[in-house]
Amino acid sequence: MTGSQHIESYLSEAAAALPGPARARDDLIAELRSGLLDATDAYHAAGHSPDEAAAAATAEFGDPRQIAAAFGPELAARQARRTALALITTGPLIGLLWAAAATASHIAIHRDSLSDHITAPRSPARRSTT
Amino acid sequence: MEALRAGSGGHFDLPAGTVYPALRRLERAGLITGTWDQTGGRERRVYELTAAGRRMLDAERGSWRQFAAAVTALLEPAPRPAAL
Repeated sequence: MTGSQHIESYLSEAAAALPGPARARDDLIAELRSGLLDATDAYHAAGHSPDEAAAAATAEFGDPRQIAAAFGPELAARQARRTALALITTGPLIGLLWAAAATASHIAIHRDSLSDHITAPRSPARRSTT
Repeated sequence: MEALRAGSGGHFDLPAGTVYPALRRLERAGLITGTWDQTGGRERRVYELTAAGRRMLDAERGSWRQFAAAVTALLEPAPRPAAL
């Protein structure tokens, strides 16, 4: 494997094990990539061939699936935020808002009928005085 | 990670990749902030302590010193004062 193949296969292994939204995943993978490239540069500067340097860097970083698993809580939090957002626009909260709106308009209707009741007895009374 | 390994005389030799999830957890906790930085050609994520992070570091450093001093005092008792 060439140096960049070492790094890309490491990253695709990590990406495959990362759950969550693609944008969050891409950000984490980009950060891993820049770290791996820096480590590769350091090994290269220390006298290793580019391929050896990349192999050493990926070895130093550890098992990509293990790193991906450690990112789990981070991605779960992002996923939870997305789910919360989805629920706000489509879920129970909007249902509650509808219920609140319905209750508010019911109260308004109820008030109207109350005022009907209040004014209603007056008309016959007025009629009776004539 | 290299600084951690070298600074601890090789005691803390963690896989270098584990620093990235740790950084994201600290960031989510509001103790550090990370930004992408372009200087030097390659994009790198640069982190710095927030005010809360600095306070936490000071507090944790203080409580570690207390704890370490207490353990040291127990494991290596000073000679009893002769007056007693």
